[in-house]
Amino acid sequence: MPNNILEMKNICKAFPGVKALDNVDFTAEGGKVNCIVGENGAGKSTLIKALAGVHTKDSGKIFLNGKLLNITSLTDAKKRKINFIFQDTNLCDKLTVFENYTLGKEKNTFGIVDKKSDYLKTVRDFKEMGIDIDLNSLAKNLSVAEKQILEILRAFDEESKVIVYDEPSSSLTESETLKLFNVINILKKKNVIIIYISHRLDEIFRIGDYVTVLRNGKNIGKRMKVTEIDKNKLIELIIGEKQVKKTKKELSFKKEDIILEAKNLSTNDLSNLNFHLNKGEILGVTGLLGSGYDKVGKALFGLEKIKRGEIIFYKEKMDLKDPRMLIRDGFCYIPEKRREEALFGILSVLNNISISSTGEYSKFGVINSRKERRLAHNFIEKLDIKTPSIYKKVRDLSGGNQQKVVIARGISTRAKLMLLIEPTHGIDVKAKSEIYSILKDLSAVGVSVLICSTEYSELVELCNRILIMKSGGINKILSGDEIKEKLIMQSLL
Amino acid sequence: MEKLKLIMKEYVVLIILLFFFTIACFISPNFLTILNITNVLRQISMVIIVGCAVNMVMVSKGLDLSVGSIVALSGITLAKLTSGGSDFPFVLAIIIAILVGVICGVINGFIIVKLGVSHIIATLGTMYVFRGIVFIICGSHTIGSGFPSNYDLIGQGYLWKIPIPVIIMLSIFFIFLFIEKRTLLGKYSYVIGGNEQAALLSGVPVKKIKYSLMVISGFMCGIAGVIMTSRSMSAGPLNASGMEFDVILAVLLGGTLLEGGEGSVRGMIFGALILGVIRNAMNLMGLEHTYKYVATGSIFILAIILNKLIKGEKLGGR
Repeated sequence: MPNNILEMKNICKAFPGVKALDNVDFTAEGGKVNCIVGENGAGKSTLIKALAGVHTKDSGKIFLNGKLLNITSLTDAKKRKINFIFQDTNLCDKLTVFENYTLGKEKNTFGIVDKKSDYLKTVRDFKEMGIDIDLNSLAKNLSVAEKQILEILRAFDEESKVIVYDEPSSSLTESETLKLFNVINILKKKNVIIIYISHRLDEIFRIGDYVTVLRNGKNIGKRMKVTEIDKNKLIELIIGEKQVKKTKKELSFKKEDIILEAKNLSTNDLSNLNFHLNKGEILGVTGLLGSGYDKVGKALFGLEKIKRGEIIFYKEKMDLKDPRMLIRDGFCYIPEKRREEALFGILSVLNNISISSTGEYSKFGVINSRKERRLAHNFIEKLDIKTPSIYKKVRDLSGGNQQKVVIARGISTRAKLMLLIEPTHGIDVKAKSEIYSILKDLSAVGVSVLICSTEYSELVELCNRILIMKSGGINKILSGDEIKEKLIMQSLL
Repeated sequence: MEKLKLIMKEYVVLIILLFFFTIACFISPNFLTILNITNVLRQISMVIIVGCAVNMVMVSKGLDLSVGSIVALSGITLAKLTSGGSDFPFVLAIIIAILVGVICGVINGFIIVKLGVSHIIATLGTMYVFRGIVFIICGSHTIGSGFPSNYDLIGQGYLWKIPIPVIIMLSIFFIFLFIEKRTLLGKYSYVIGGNEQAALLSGVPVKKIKYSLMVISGFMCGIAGVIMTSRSMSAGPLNASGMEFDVILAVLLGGTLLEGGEGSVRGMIFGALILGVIRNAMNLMGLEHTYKYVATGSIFILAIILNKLIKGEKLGGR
C-alpha cells in the first residue's frame, strides 16, 4: 500500500502588522502521528487554518500524495476527506449521541431516515473504537470530555485521509486521554494522516511519531523523529535563545502592601486557592488549557459561582456578584473574548471608551458631551489609539487598537485592580509591546494587575510573580529569578 | 461623490419619505393642502408618541407588542371615569388614565426583568390580558355619550392653529431627542442593544434600564390613550387594535434594527410620516379598505429594501 503523504511547502501568511507564517514547510505521513509544537502565536493555528482554507495563504503550495490541493473552506475540506477537530465542540445539544454521530450522513431513502441501521452502525463503530458512551443520552448531558470524544469520532469515517487535532486533549482527564489515544492508534493502522497539535509536551512523547517546531512563524530545524529528541531539548527549540531584558525593577513588598487576598477560594473549577496581590504588582496566572488559569480572573470579577472562601480587597470582604459594584470599588475586567464580551462593535470609539466612567461626565443622568469627548480624546492620546475620529465604529479598528479601547474603558474608572484574561490574543507584535508598556506604566503608579495568560514570554516580560495552575489548584509560585520561560514550561508538565 | 453617499446614508429615511410624498402629490391634488397635511399629522401623532418610547425599547434589542392594548385600556379608563354625566374631576381622570398606562408598563417590566421572560413573549401575553381587561370594563360596548363639555379639547383643539395632539407629539419628540442624545438612559439603551453581555461587564445597570424603558413605554401609551379618547369622544373595546404593528412599522422604517444598537427617534418620526402619507394617499384615492392592508404591507417591505439599497448594503444575505 502506498503511503499517504501531505506536504505543505513555503507557506506564507501575513496579517496586518505581523508575518504569521514565513516560508513554513510541513510534511505529514500516513499511519503516523505528526505533531506541531510551538508557543502561542508561533503560527501553529494559522498553519492549520491555511490548510483548512479558513485563512487564504499568501503563497506556498499544498500537496496530497503529490497532487496539488487547494481547499477553500472547511466544507470543502470535509468533501476531500480532510477533517478538523478544534477545541470547541460543535454538537447539537438537543440530539442524542447516536443522532449526532450520524448527522449529515444518515442512511436514507428519499429523505426517510433508516434509524435502525444507523443505530446499529453506531453501536459497531463505538465498539470498534472501544468507546463506552450511552448512545441515547442527549449531547447536552455529556461531560466536556465525552463531547470531545464524540466530536473526534464524528470527524472520522471510513474514507478519512487526514485528521487534524488542534489541542484535542485540553479538557480531557487522564483516562479519557487514554481513550483518545486508543482512537488515534486505530486510525494509525488505517493509514490515516494524523496531525496533532498540543501544548502538553508529554503527550507528544507518548503518542507522537514526528514533531515539527514553529517559532515566530518560522520552521525551527527540520521535522524530527520523536524518539531522537528529549523533552529539555524540545523546550529549548520551542522558546529559543532570547535576550533577557532586565528592565523589570526588583520590587520588594511589605505586608501592608497587600491589597487583595484570596482565602480558600473555591468554585466549580477551582479548589482552595490562597494567594495575595500587592499594590503596584503584576501577578501572572498560567497553566495548561483546562487547568483553570483563566477562571481565577473570572472568579475575582464574580463570573464564576463562588462555593467557598472569601476575597478581601483593601481589608474589606468583597461580595463578588454585581460587576457594577465591583467597578465602583475599583475593579476592572478585560475579558478574553473581546468581540463577544467587551466591544460594542457597531458603536463609536467614543461610546466604547466612556461607557464605564459615566460619573466623570454626567450629573443626574444628563451627559456633558464636551467632558465626555475630552475624556475619550485624553485616553486616545494617552494609549496612542489609532482611529480617524472618535465617532468611528469600533469594529473598524484593528485588533490591537480595539484592545486599547477596552483597556481605556477599564482604566477610565480609576481602577485600582485590573483583571486581564489573555490580553494580547490575536494582536500584532507592535500593539502587544505597546500594551505591555501601558500595563507597566499602570503598575508604576500603583495599580495592581492580574494577568491570566498562556503566552509565557508575555508573563516573563511583565510579571513580578507567576502562579502556575494545575487541575484547579496552585501548583507552584514562581518569583524573582525563577521567572523564565523554560521554568514555566517545566512546571506546567 | 463620497460625501454625497454619506449624506444619503444619514438621511436615507427622509429621502424615502420625500419619495412617497412626491408620489402622493401627483396622485391627488387634495394632498398638498394645509387642511390635509394637518390631518395627516394629527392622525399619526399617537403612533409617534408611542413610537418615541418603543423606538428606545427596540434600540435596546427589546420589543413591546402590548402598546395597542395599553392605549385602549388607558383610553377606556378615562371614558369610564368621566362619561354618563359623572362629576369626577376631569384632570384627575386624565392623571389616573395615564397612571394606568404606567402600571401596565411596570407589569411588563416586572415580567421581563424580574421573571426573565423574553420581550416578545411577555408583551404578547400582556397584549391579550390588557385587551381582555378593556372588554371586561366596557362590556363589549362603546362608551360614547355623556362626556363633560370641553372634553374634546385635547384631541380636537387647536393652539395657534396647530392641533393640540401635534403640539403634544412635538414636545414629546424633543424630550426623547434630548434623552437619546444627552442622557445616560439614552446612551445605555444603545449600549445594551449593541452588546448586552459587554454592557453588563462594563458596569451598565442593564436590568434597571430595561425596566425603565418598559415603564416609559407604558407612560407614553397612557398619554396616547387620553388623546385618542378625547379625539373621538368615545372609547371602545377595539380602540387602537393593531396599533402595535403601526408603531413597530414606523420604528423599523426609521432605520432601527431588530438586532438593536442602531436607530434614532428622528428616523422613527420620518418612518411614521411615511406610514401616514401612504395611508392618507390611499384614502384620497378612495381605495377600498381591504386593499389598504395589501398596499401598506407591500410598501413597508419596499421601503425597507430601498433603505438597504441606498445604504449600499447587499440584498440576499450570505
